[in-house]
Amino acid sequence: MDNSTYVALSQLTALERQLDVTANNIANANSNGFKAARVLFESYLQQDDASASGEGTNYLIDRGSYLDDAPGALVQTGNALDMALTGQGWFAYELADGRTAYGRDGSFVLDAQGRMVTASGAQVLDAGGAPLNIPPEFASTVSISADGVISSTEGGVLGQVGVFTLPDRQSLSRTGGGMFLPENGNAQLQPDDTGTQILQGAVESSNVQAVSEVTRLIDIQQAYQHALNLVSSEDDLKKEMLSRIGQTS
Amino acid sequence: MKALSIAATGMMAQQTNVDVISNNIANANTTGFKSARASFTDLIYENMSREGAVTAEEGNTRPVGLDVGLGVQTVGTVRLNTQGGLALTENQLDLAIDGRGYFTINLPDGGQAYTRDGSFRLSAEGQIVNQQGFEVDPGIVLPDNTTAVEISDTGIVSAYVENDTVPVEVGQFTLTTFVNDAGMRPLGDNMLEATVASGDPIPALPGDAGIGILRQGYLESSNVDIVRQITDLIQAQRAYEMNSKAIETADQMMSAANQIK
Repeated sequence: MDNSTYVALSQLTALERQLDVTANNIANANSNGFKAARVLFESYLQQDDASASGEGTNYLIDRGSYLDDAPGALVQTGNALDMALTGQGWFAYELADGRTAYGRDGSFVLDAQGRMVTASGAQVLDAGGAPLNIPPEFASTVSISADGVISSTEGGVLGQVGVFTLPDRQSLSRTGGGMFLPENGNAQLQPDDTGTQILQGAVESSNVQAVSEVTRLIDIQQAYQHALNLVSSEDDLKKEMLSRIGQTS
Repeated sequence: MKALSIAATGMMAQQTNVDVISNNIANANTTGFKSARASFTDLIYENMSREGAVTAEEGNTRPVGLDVGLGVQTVGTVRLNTQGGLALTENQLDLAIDGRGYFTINLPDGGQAYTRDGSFRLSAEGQIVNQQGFEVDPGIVLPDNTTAVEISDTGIVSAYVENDTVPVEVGQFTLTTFVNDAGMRPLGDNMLEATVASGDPIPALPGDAGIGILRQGYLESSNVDIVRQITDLIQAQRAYEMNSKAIETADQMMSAANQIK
């Protein structure tokens, strides 16, 4: 095979990966707090012999996937413990294995011990970074202020939901369950200072844009077809070349 | 190409979503029914290359990783425990709870179930039972020849017997609460049962601090918001179609790749 076939092949592989990422975005169109992923393509210049004449071969490489951190729409749910974040802040959760993860899924419930947890059971951290507990007797009558202070008429102030800043958002690795893990393990939690507000009784829906995802699907398919055509033409070319060589001899 | 199976998880999630929504709509007129909402999160990720890994060029570290998600999962259905509307029935054994709490039902097998459905009847023995004929805790029996019953907002049941003008107090309804209402398991027939997630039942009386009061002659309607359900249904359908579009794209790409010579 010639270089052109390999270039097409590098594009085909990258496009398949982009299709996987796009399919995952679409599959999560209804996941609370989900942030869509985008794939980053880059040309990879091969310094082969041709470079002496100023030409190189540009292969395509999918360099990484990054986070589309646009806010999702807020959906009113009416549940007293549902919280949506408006702004740049993140909730922090303690996972079962003790690691701290971040996420924007604010669909919370109390477990039987009065601990505030996500639907998948991770514990929500308060403003001081400790697991958040609500005395069970006040659980159903709480009101939550814009800065996360949880109070009830009978119990007074019960705690404060932590909202944190993620300085290096793109280096997060995704773990599923709507959660992100910082690259360097348990980094120090930094309280959010960008004025993020909490809205009680609502959750942030996923930020997947239906139209752009479906358009992307079409783009991917077209680009894939073009790359395949390139392989075909290369093949035709070679066939023709061989048959002409046959004629001359 | 993982896109096929990824989009399949999306279609399955939307099916679950439609199942939950249809059950809400089907129960729009069920007394004391609480609507549910399916909750989804992303499934695990395949880290094709790690964030922060050293790249081949000049010892740079990779600023972003290449994470390919493997689809979506349903983590649970969260019940919405808001108050349903109170519908006037004028039936003197119909009770609505205005606020927090559940009636306790003694099941024939000795267990207990909990309900917000207060459409009670009398058994042949004069006992207050629910629609299925199960005894309502703590087992209140009305005397023979009771002509009228009055139930106070704190649950005290007074019976007027024959022509007496002074009522006889025959018992008091109790209510039960849970730390985590959302963790109770629905049994059908408008009843829920306690689970490890909901915590142990906490006995209470109507009108206690934080506990609801009773309204005689009313029933609590379901809290299903029909407009919300229908718009959710439309959204679920569109999301399903989008996932099937992803499958179609993956299929056409694979088919094109297969035809290449």
